[in-house]
Amino acid sequence: MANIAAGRIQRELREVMNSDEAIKNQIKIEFPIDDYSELQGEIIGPPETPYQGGRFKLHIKVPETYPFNPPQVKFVTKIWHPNISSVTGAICLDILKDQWAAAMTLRTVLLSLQALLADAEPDDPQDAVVAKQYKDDHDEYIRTAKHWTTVYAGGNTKNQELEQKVKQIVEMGFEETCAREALSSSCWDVAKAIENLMS
Amino acid sequence: MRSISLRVAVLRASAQQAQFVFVFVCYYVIYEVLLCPSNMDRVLISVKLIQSQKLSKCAENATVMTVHINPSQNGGELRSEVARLSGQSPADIRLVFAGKLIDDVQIMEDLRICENTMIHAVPAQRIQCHSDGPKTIKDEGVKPQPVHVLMESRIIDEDQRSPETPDVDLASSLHPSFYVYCKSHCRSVQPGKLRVCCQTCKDNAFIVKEDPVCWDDVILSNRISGSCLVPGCQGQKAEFFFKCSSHASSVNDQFTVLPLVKTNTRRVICITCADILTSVLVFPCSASHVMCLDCFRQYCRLCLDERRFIQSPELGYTLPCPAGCEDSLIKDTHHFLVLGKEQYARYKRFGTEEYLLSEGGVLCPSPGCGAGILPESDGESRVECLQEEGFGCGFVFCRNCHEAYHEGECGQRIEEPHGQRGSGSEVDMERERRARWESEESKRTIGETSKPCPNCKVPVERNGGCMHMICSRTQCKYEWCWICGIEWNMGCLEDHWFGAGFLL
Ligand SMILES: [Zn+2]
Ligand SMILES: [Zn+2]
Ligand SMILES: [Zn+2]
Ligand SMILES: [Zn+2]
Ligand SMILES: [Zn+2]
Ligand SMILES: [Zn+2]
Ligand SMILES: [Zn+2]
Ligand SMILES: [Zn+2]
Repeated sequence: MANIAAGRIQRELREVMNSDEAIKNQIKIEFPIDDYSELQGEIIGPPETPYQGGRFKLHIKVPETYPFNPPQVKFVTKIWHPNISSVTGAICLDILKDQWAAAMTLRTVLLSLQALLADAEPDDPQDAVVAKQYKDDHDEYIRTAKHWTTVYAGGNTKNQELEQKVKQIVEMGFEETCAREALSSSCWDVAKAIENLMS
Repeated sequence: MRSISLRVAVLRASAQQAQFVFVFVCYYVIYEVLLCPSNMDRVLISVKLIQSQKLSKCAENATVMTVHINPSQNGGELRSEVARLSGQSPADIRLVFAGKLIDDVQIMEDLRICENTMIHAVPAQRIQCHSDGPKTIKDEGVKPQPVHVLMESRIIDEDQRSPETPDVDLASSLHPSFYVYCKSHCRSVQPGKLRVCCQTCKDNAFIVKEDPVCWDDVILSNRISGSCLVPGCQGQKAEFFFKCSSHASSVNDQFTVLPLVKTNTRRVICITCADILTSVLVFPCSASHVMCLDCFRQYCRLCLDERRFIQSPELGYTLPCPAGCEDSLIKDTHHFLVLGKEQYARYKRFGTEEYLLSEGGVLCPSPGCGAGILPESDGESRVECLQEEGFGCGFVFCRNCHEAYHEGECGQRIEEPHGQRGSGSEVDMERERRARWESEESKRTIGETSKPCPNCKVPVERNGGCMHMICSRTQCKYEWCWICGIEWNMGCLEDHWFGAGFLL
């Protein structure tokens, strides 16, 4: 990595680690000893959202041209959110694209992502299916997002009914992740989900 | 054992003067050994004597001598010394430095007189001739500081707009300075010195009537008046120029002053690397964001590579503050000299191209060419990249689709040129070029991290998650699909918003 980025990243890592949010265990960042180009981030789901109680891991790639170009960030933990791809974890957030400014830091990125969890922007979606559900059937969206938080991010709102449906499809020979994705995309309608999986 | 350093070079001394010099040497040795408390920090300066006697061209007849001075010495002592060395009475001469008379109580250190500094000794009567001019000698209590010291202190005042910021470590060696890009010698940004001379005869034996108070006073001509002290010259206008502080300058040296580069007296951290460096560039944004020169160079280089410079009709090809501040474009594009010779040439070329595009011109799409072409008529879609003076490649292309030139609508395959025997060779040549271009093109795009923007053909780097691309050129901002290479549309959003299995 170029010298600029390395020096600055070290400072930013210190900034994150000494931040109030990190002390309260709300954000976290981990990195290999002498490589600052690939970092592991973690944010907790904001309270009073379907993501509450979840810990979401992030993969942060710092480009050589940092901070003139934004870090590339994606969710490693699977998440059900209109602005985050449920398949790849890719994020559609303006500050990670053309609204990035060299004065922003890793801490501001983590906090912005947390804010994004609390406040989705369904009109500028990354995941069209989730965005549609968010707008058309908001309760279903909340139910699904909570379920994903529990299953993938260590949340604690178990939903036996949904688990049962996943199990039902898995028993037909489908992979669990695929089954859950298909059910989530079809508002937990088992028949529709199977249809989607077959097509 | 303390060495006695004394060097007196009188370039054009009469026998009488030589005698004086000898006497002075004896005197000086006594002074040196018995009286001078310490010879540390002594500096060697030059004194140019302007003769009073009917000599019209002073430069040819001036005597230059070098004198060792002690920084704690005052103006009166130096004047006496120069008078002794040149065989004159101290009452007959006055010393001039950087547009000002040196006051007798002025301490040399405060004038920033350093190694190789040149000061002028002018006949006192020459000053009296201009009695309506500088009042500095009579001004009680106000020492006539040289112009560069005055300007620099104003720059600090200007910078201290927000008094709550903890600040200026002036006790340290951080004194504010001008900065120049030293083109011929250092080829880098260096602390610079502001100097003043007579606009008419270019001699430095000139005193200003008023102090420059802003950059315009210094950069624009005819704003500051004064008096030329060279016999025979009636010069009334000051001319300012900058020198590199790092070495004695010669006639051919070229310096460009960089007004946004400043000494980091307030110890502000660099917005990019977060280090505190001595020389920084302060962006003209309301927050006055600070960037160290290394980072600024890298910022310029990156923006050049990614075509992120902005073509401003008033300012030219320039950059804003990277923090995204409004109204922060760098006004003086000479700051981009920090790119170095080679990249600065590239900057100039890109700037010309952007200007051309803004004026309705096109860039040759042939790989490695990219020459700017201003088509003659608006309606004509056939554009030829003329080969002349080492520019251009001869490629003939369509102004609308940037493919090889074709008859009819864009996007259609060119018909085989059956029955076109007459102009066959010309067509074949075009076809040959087209084929070459396509193969180059395909080589370039497969599996690459950058693709040319379908709108302006300038390479755009893929950055981040989805396939929704936005051309990074501020002039374009075209939104397009990485996979399809066309304008971003609902179909792309539904089908391949993010590439399946795409990983960072
Ligand atoms: Zn120099
Ligand atoms: Zn003159
Ligand atoms: Zn820096
Ligand atoms: Zn700024
Ligand atoms: Zn060409
Ligand atoms: Zn065409
Ligand atoms: Zn473009
Ligand atoms: Zn597409």
